[in-house]
Amino acid sequence: MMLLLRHGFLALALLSGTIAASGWYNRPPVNAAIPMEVFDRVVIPAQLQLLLAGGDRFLAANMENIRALASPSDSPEAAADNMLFVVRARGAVAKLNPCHEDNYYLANALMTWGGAFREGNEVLVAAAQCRFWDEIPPFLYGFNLYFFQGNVSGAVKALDDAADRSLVNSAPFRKLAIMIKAGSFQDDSLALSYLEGERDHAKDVKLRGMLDKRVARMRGLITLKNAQTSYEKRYNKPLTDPKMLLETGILKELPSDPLKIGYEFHEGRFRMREVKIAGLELPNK
Amino acid sequence: MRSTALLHSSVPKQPSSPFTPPVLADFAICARIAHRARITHFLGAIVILLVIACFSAAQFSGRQPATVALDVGFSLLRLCLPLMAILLLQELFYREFDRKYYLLSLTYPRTRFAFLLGRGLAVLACTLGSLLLLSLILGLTVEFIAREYALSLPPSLGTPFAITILFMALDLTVAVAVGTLISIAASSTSFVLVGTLGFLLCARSFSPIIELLAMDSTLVSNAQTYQSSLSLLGYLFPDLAKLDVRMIALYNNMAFLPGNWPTLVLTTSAYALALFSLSVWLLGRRRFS
Repeated sequence: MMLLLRHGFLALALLSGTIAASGWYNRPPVNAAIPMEVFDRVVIPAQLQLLLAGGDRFLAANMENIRALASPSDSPEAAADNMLFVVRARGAVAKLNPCHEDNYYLANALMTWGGAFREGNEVLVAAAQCRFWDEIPPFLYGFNLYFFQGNVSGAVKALDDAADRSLVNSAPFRKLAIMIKAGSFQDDSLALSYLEGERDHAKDVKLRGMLDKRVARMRGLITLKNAQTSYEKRYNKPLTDPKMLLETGILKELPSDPLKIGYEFHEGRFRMREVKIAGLELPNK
Repeated sequence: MRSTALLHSSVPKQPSSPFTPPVLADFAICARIAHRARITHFLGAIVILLVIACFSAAQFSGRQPATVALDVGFSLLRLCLPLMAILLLQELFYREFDRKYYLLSLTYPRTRFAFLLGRGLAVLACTLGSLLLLSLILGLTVEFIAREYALSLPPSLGTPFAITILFMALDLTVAVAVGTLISIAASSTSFVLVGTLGFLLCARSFSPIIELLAMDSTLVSNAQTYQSSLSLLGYLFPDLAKLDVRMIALYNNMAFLPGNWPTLVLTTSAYALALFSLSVWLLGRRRFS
């Protein structure tokens, strides 16, 4: 009894310790299944990123740009999530520092050519406004307006803006604007050569791979358009159903898009399909 | 041993050598205390961090490695130098009172105002000297990085760079003034650190946050209310975000300098002076037990 009184607290410690340990012993079994890999990533709103960077918007922009560059997963099923992430992350960078050169360049290369041209163009507009001396953002913006959206007046306006800014490229930009106005611009082959040039200049191996997929996507579109032309020449009537190309044997198979977004036949002409951002759904799923 | 040495270093020099100006004596004390508090090691760490951060940030940039390196370097200076100023202020003000060295350093004929002025100027000189040194290293690093890849528009390391550093010096002066006030009034060392850093965070981020909130109102449901209440902070804090004029150096274009910069410089200097006068007043009324 004396012993218990003297060491009362030790006994209490042992007793409580045993109870605590029994909680560990009776724990539910650990779920050993490998969790499903998650490819989408969180993008914090620009305002909070600024606060987390100690009130330094340039630092926040640089960190988010590096994260957007470094974190995409290579696995094929990650393509959709990579795109959704990049759209939000690059949008945040454009808010924090719209003058960021890497941001508008990569947004144009990866977002616009990956099917999110509306979001890519928003980044380009912000860059064109902030970098008032730089001719490249308005040129890319004008090109995209014409090529992806068929907006001739907007494209001509942006290209004229680019020509005003440029010292050496002024004449080619104006020529392009006039060609677009006249409707004689051979858009596809020029777009392909532009994209191939961008891919060949990329230093980063990973970026080169990403651009490679976009080049392949562009080639697929050109194949479809060429097939349409030869069909219309052979049968002397406009193509109404893309399946006719397979049935008449002009194409052995429809070109596959490495980005898994695909093409669509709209009002008698082929075009690239756009990623649907708002509903978080992809047409091929 | 160490504490006695410190005690001697805190003895004002002016009665023994009447020809040394008291401010210089304070500078000497500041230098010795800074050396003992391993501030030099801290500065060395910043230098190493700066060079590593510049080179690795440039690796991530495909189009403008030198610009990104300069950008990250500026950010690092703006983060690390206030921290160094706070460490110095803790040593020169807070610990002075904490260890009761004021029994020697505030003896007659030295006035409290002279003590505060000397120490404050010494901290400012140390911080701005470090800023000068670090900006030279940053300039050299960026120059080295810029050689590897030709940019269409290389960042400017001339006058725009110097102007950016000058504005950063003004930002640091406000930080030192706030830190002085807090270390006179504080009751613990960590309050000097937390209070000054908190002040800098608020003063540097409130105006860009207002701008970003104005840009998209989708984030919060009633952005107008947030904006008006955040704008009230403008009367309390100086707008230190506007003092960050690095875009003139990054993009080599003086058009990015805010048009009202003389007003900005004047109001910020007045703010720092007001804070310093407040600390003089507070120290004058402080009763040491």
